[in-house]
Amino acid sequence: MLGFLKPRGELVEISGRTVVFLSAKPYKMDQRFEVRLGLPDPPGQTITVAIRVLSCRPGPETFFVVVGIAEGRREPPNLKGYPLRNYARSRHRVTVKSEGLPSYRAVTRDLGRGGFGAELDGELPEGKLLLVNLEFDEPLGWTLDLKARVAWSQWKGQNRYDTGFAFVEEPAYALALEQLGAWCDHMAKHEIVPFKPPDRLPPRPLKELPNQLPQTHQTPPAAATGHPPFGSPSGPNYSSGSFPAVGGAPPDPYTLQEAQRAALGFSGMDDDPTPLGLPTLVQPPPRPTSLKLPDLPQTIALERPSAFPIQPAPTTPAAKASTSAPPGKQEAASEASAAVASSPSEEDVGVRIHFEASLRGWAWEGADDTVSVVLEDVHGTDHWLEFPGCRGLAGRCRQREIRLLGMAVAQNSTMIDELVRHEGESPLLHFRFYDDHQRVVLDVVAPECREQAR
Amino acid sequence: MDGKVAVLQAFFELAWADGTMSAKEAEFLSHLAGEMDISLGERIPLLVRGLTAPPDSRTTNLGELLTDDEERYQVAERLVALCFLTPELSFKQTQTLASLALQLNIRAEELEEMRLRVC
Repeated sequence: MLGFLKPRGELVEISGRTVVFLSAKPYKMDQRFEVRLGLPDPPGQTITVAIRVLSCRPGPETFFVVVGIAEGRREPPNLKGYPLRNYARSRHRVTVKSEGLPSYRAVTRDLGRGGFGAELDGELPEGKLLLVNLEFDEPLGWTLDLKARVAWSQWKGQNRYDTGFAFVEEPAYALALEQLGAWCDHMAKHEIVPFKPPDRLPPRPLKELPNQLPQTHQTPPAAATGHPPFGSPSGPNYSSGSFPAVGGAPPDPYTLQEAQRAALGFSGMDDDPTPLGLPTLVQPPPRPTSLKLPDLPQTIALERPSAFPIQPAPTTPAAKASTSAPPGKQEAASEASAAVASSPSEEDVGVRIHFEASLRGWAWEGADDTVSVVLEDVHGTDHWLEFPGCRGLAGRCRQREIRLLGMAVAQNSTMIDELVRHEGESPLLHFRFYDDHQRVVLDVVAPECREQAR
Repeated sequence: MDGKVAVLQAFFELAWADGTMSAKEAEFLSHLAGEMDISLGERIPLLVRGLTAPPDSRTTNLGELLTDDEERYQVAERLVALCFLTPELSFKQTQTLASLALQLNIRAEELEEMRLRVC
């Protein structure tokens, strides 16, 4: 399918009025649109749900996880589709310590067998692996060492980042994960009954602690092991606090059989935490619940005013090219400029191309007479345009990072007239970039415009 | 993305069929390219070429590019809308629209229905 105008999404879940879906296209917060949902039963039936976007963040592969609120009068049916998460996540506040965290510690916002979410003081790159130490208040002093991977990070404001972590499934952490799962299950079922820490404590990962002495006697020094400086007063060790004593040496984590691992439910990493408050997504095969994001109303283009409310700015010849223009041409151009100055509406502004972007900058490139212009789109992606054979460039603003609302392309203009060196030259185009106050901020005269391969 | 570019070329072809590119048509195509999610870096040069000169070649395989019925109708509706942006529909533009509609397997009565809807 081409996806002409209709970005397709994959429904994750509708729970109450909360709609979660995967989309190939990012959406802005508070953006409103309608989605069409193909219902699994009866097949072929669709419903349309008006949605306001609450959040959008990177998800699995190249998709974005979009969370929206259904705004229609009628509440949509509860549906489950593509499972994002292998394990339930609940609102638990547990201290996480790790030397990989921006301020070395954080408090979980939600926690589950598959991972946790936390608000951090800085941004962590996706995919980064961290050794983390979870320090529980209940039972007091109980700790677990795990390895976590940064699944996503989203700026929240004022240098705060919502970050999702997925626990890494490795044999060294199998027992710790099993115990974490047991803790989560217990906390979900019991409010008053205290969680009894397991008798068998999780082994320290061998790779991280190569020089580990028997655990009942000594805790490995953090500096020697390279382990994060877990900062609980008594350390994250297995012999501390209210733990029962370790009954013998820990089992070799690498001897865990596949069957045991399967029994523990190690089916993969919890890749992409969904927002809080959503119920557990079990792991059925993804249902063929498709979601279509329909296009805009078809009349929208017809209703727009035909006149582009932009007046051409008086053009000035670019210094670079005008110096080489023949004297006769310059004179003619001056007269033309004067005529334009007296009646600016006569200047041909050409065809208009609308887009929203920031003008990051422009520059001549080498001796090739090529001008490069860098635009940043609304998603923050830079796009490099190049104007080979550029004959004139006039920047009309001091600042860069100017918000643009489009450009106009003219085949005839006074600036072109002033820059044409001789008859028979390849036709030039006059590109005018407009800011959001509809002022010309940059003029480029060149035969063509193309995307610069970078 | 090549498929989307080819679809956009069909729109350029239709807009240029009467020999001119009006301001309304240029604006329509500019917005359409934005709606089609063509990246900004690709979109601007594409629009510059398409809006300043008629395409070199004619579109003949629109039906192969658009296999989904809904998409074909979306494209056809926009082709019809483009045609009726200008007050007078030229004969060449009608011919081009008919050719493109044929490629999309859209019948004459469906085109008429679309015209009533978009105009």
